[in-house]
Amino acid sequence: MIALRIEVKGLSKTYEGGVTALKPMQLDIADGVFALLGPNGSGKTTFMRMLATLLEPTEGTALVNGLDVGHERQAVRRLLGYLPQDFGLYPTLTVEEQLDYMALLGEIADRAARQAAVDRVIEQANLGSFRKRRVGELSGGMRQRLGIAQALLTEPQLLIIDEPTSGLDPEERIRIRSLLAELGGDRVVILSTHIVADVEATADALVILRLGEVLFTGTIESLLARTRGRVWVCETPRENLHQMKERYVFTGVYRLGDRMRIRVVGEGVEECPAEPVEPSLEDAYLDVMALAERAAGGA
Amino acid sequence: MSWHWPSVRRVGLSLLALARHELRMTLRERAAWAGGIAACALAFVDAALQPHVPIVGGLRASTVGGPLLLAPLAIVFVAGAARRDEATSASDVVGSRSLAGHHLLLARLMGQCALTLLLHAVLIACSLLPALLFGGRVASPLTFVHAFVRGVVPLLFITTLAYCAVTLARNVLAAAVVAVYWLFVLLWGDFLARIFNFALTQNWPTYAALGGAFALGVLAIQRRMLRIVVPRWRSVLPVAAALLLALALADAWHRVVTSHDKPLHQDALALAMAGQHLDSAPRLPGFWLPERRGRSFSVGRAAGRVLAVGVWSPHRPASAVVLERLRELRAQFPPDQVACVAVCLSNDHALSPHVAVEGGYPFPLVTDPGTHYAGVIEECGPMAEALLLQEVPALFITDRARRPVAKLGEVELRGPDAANPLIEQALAVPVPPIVE
Repeated sequence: MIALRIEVKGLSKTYEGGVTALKPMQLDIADGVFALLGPNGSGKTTFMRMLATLLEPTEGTALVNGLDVGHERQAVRRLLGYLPQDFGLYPTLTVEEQLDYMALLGEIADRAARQAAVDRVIEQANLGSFRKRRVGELSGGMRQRLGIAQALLTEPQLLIIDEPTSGLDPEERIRIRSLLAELGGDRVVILSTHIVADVEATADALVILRLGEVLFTGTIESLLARTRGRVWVCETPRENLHQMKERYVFTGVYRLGDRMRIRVVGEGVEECPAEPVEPSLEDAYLDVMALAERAAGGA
Repeated sequence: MSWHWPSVRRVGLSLLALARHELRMTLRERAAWAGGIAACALAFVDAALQPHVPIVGGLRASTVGGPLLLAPLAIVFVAGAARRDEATSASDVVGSRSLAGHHLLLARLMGQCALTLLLHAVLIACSLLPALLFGGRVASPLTFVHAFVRGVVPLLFITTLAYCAVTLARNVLAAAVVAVYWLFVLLWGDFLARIFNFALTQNWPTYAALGGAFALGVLAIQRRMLRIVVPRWRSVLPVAAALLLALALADAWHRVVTSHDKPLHQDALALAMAGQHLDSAPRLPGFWLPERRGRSFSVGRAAGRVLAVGVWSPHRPASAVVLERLRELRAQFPPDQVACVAVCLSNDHALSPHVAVEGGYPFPLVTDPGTHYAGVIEECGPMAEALLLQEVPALFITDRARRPVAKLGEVELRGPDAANPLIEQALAVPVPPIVE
């Protein structure tokens, strides 16, 4: 497959009523799994919908292999597979029929080619035993797998997946994560999530968004390197906890009998002897968010 | 602009496959089955309450089954299909696909049209069933075909109209507006100029072109809304829509000027026919009306013979029973002694020819094209006025000099052979010279 490149140039979105969902964004995305991490309302879905040609940018543009998402929609759509966060399918069709329908919408007109594509994605998404089951009878996890399967039908070079694991049980979440990790091998996968563990398990690079603003862009290693030396672990009496929560950014709290073991990010801890530890992605994410919040508060 | 056959074929195959899925989706909905079964049951009961003659069943399917029972169902189904993506939250999944949006819209419409026609066929079968079960009469395939064909344009027109309205308004309530329009034509269509009644077969060219213009127009507008630009096809949809609209308007204008909406007082022949009166003239009013091949039939052809004129109207389908009585007369009396003719009073000019072919009647069936039925038989057209009709069916029997001998009404015509003694009586009357 030919390497795909996405260039985002000053892309922004302001909805009617003046709500800015995404401030001008600059981004360069190449092969692999690229994660968008941020809390709800940070602009992840808005960005993905613009990239999926479903939303008109207010300003700027995004080029997918040189094709403008605002003006060359059909050509861009031929390159992409999209799975929205809240999606529905047609409940009276079977899994196989639904995929056939979506393959037709992906311009696979030849019946044999369609059947081959349907068989392939059913295999990839591990839906073989449910192919004759109606979509309306599928569980949440199976529906999510069907959603991913439909996005893969046209063997897209760009796969955009919005919050694929939210609301799933742990087993199904792990299954979806491993599927996404496999898919990232030969295409660009843009994955939006607010679950840090999803990013850790699948992504090569990430963007952290907050209130429509890009706070960080880079690889996971570079994010971790940025936070290295700012993560501390210490033990403290339980009664100090409330007071400390107001001063530090907690990334973990564990009970140790009548004392508490806490994990914080910041310059250091004054209340108790703390030792530095290797940062996790969650630490790094929370650190970035806390710094941004502090900067916004200061401003 | 260039047409590339493989890509046209590919698009065609995709449309057909999508339409099949659309049809399947609606057919799997319980509400669709419930609605379909209820409509079929009603059509069966309605036909069972009529004389058990296949032609009557076919006419009931055209006047009740299609317009009353199926059209509202089709409007509901098509409204659901037009808003299916929104109702199932599938808009983004579907919208991110590369197939041009107007192809999907067209495929959906095709699927719903196929469903409407499928239900139409089933409904006709249900209307014809009582004739077989209770009357032991198997309907001719032509009865089925004609009833089916008569429903095609009006049903597809209303389906297309509802689909276009819901697609444009992006609201299922738009279908209610179309339903009101449908009801208006159905209930008060007789009081409208006939060109506004899309159920009349002579108006088919107008409404087929109009339906096509609406569909293509909506596809063109929708394509702009979806911002899908395919330069090669850019101008085809709006231009084709405009052409079809112009064609529809031209056809409607031509029809109004030359055909059935021409005021009676501008038609000398119709005026002359209406000016005759059964009670003041010594002879049965004469007429010169088109038979099924369009040739004029004059009552003068029966000169010197006893004449039996049956009058019926598809607006009262049970009146078609008079055709059976005329068939019996034709079988029992020699043609050189007794002439039979059936006069159809119908706004729809194709019904009488259809019935003539279906029944294989061995006598001419003519239509009074001046008919404008508005719920009252007496005033519905020149023949009704001339014959002072109060009801249909009616059978007029004259002697060889065309002097009225008897008039039989609905009650007398229910059973066979009621007219036989009257015909014999008419045959026995000597033919005196007529003094006008």
